[in-house]
Amino acid sequence: MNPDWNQLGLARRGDESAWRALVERHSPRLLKMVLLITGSHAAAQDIVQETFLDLYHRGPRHSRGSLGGYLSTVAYRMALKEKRRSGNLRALDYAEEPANDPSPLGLTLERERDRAVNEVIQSMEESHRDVLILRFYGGHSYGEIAGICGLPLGTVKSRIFNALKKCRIMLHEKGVTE
Amino acid sequence: MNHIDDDMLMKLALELLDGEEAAGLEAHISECEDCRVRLEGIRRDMDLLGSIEPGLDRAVIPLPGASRPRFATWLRVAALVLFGFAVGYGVSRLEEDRIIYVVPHRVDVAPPSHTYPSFSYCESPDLSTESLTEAPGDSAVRQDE
Repeated sequence: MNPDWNQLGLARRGDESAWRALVERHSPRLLKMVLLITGSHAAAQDIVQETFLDLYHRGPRHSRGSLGGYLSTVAYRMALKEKRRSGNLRALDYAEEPANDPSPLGLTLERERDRAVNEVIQSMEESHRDVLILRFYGGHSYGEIAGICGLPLGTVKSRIFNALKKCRIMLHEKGVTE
Repeated sequence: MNHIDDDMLMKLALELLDGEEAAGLEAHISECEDCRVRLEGIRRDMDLLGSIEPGLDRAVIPLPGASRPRFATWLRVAALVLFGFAVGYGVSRLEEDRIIYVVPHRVDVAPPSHTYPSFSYCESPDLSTESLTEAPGDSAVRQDE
């Protein structure tokens, strides 16, 4: 059995060290993924916490598939919901503001190169951006991404290809790459 | 020699090709410096795209329900209490057949005396027989005795 499922079973029986191991293994990539989608540190922390609580209380009782995939699916759906909610709020509050406001994430990135890469990722259309984030920051296989996003495998492959192609052009235009 | 176009190199870097197709391209790349350099450039760009460090390392999420006793714990406590009652009841049933003899004891307690001999105060004690006087209460005590 996958050690993740084994540790989840132990955690549900009150084993704190098993729970801590699960959180330490999966939370770093989930935080990055959600942060890149929502652009908000606070939202990323909340969503990742909610994701783990969901896993504990309502998570699958079976031990098939990847627990990482389950966590990413829950976190991704919450992140999309949050992104749309905050986007709607921004649209209501700052209708006069320019649309390309730097996100809170963009303001907090220390390295200039990180800021440039973030701008490139955020400038992509959502469908391409999410697939790229799930691949490069979530470390998921194309099959897992297809399950998380509810897309056919072929669509995922064509989106990741197009996303990389566009990103390379933009990185070159920004002078980040040669 | 024909070179591999960028799209095919990107597909190779993204692992989108099947095994046979990928093996054919890799065989070419192992002999072609130009294609190898371009493939390395694509892989560098991919690493760059996945390299943002947003400053969020890990989440601290306590185990849900760790602070309060769980249902199983309450069940154990209840079982322990029931067991205690059962043992106590059993012991009390065993002790019912024992005959306990109670031997009465009579205790005589003398009534408290309400009168005490009193003495008059003097600066220096005179121990001669004539100087000893009796207080009025003393004679009464002696009469009682």
